[in-house]
Amino acid sequence: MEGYAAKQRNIKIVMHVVLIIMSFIMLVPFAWMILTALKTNQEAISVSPFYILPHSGWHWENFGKVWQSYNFITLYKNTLLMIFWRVVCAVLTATMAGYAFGRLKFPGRNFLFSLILVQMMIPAQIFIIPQYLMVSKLGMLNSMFGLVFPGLVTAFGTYLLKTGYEGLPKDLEEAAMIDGCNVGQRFLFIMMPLTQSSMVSLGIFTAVFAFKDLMWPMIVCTNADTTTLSAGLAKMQGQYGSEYPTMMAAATLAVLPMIVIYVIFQKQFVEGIATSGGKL
Amino acid sequence: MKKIEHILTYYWLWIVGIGGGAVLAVYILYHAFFTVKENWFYAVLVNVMEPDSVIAELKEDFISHAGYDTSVKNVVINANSYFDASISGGTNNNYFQSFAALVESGDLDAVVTSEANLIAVGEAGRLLDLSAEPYAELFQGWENRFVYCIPYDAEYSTDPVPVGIDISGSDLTEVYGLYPDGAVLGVGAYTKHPEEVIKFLSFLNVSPTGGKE
Repeated sequence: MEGYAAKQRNIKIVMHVVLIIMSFIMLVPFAWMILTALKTNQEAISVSPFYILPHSGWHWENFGKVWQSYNFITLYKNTLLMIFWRVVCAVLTATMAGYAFGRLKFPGRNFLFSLILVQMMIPAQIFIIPQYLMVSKLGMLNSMFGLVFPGLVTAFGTYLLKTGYEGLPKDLEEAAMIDGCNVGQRFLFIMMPLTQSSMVSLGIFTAVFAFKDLMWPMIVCTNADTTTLSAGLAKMQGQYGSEYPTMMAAATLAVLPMIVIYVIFQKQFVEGIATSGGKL
Repeated sequence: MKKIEHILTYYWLWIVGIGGGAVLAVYILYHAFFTVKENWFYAVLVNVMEPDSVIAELKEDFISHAGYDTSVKNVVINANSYFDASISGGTNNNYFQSFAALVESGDLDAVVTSEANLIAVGEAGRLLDLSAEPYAELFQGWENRFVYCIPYDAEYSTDPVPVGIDISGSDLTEVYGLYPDGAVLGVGAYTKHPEEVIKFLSFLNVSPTGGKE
């Protein structure tokens, strides 16, 4: 018995050591980013391992320099608004479309759903030019609507929610029908609340992809006042390409909103990945 | 009062939905009819590291020079583009993809970059053949400054075609400090404003026969 306990303890110790090493490896790039942001350029480009930590003090002024050079308040505001509207639009449209495809019977249902699946199979870059032309002709370049436009509807979200609705028992809907609920009431008051976890997953995926989206904001927003963090950071990369501490300070400031969102919604993030089987 | 309460209780979702839809429709219609959509001129300056203030100054000076009314149409000088099509893997980035989108949509009028980069872009057919009709007359006289490339599309031509104009030593370098190692200007393959490119060249103090005006 004692031998078994000792064996279990040893396995636990080995597992913890492996996990600590893996966690350390995962954190190294992030720590490197923050430490580089606090160095001089000379220290940042030095490959000497003695320069892991800043030698000439902590250069917090790098953050001040970036903050003054770029209007981060505007970048944060634009990014958060874009994420908010994309999440609202994606969840709203995918929930309704998912219910229609998952629970309602209507002519051409399979054909229409296959069209949605086809959309998922085509590379997103194919849609860039038509989408740009539409936004341009509507006069929506350099606007919030222009930024949100590609996220108004989502094929992935429709598929995810359709699967969610299909997994719910029919009895619930039938009971509601007997009680006198029409289609809208059954959807809104009975079925939709039961797909909450799928909706949260979709919201999280949409938020992360919107935050990471670089190409679309770069195309539709040529003004510094309307662009997002990712495109703003890309612009800085052009201007401060060789000033690594400044770049890293900008990158650190840019990831802050996502860290805050993650800390607040940590539980939902983990559940979302488990529900959808996807990765962020 | 009770009737309103009843309506709000039972139809609140309809009210929110229709209200939201109406606001969105008004917003889109307003922008579709009253926002400035067209461009006088759209240029991309590739691989520029100088601050935004320099580009803003260049833009303002060009608007004054050309006498554009920016309340009617826009002028865009986009210096947020970094790629090098002349090296392997130099276009595997979002900057080049957005540049390609601008060309394909016909919004791009001019692109300024290094000679090697421009030739590589021209080879792929993304730049206007300056000797092709109906543009040949417009660019007539600039032959001394032409930069040539042989397009990948052998059906189009197997001979060198002019796809750029050498603007080395122009005001772009002398006044604004851009491209100290020389630059070439190309015209977007589907541009709608080739005559505005001539205005831009004139603004940059580049004469057709070589040297500064």
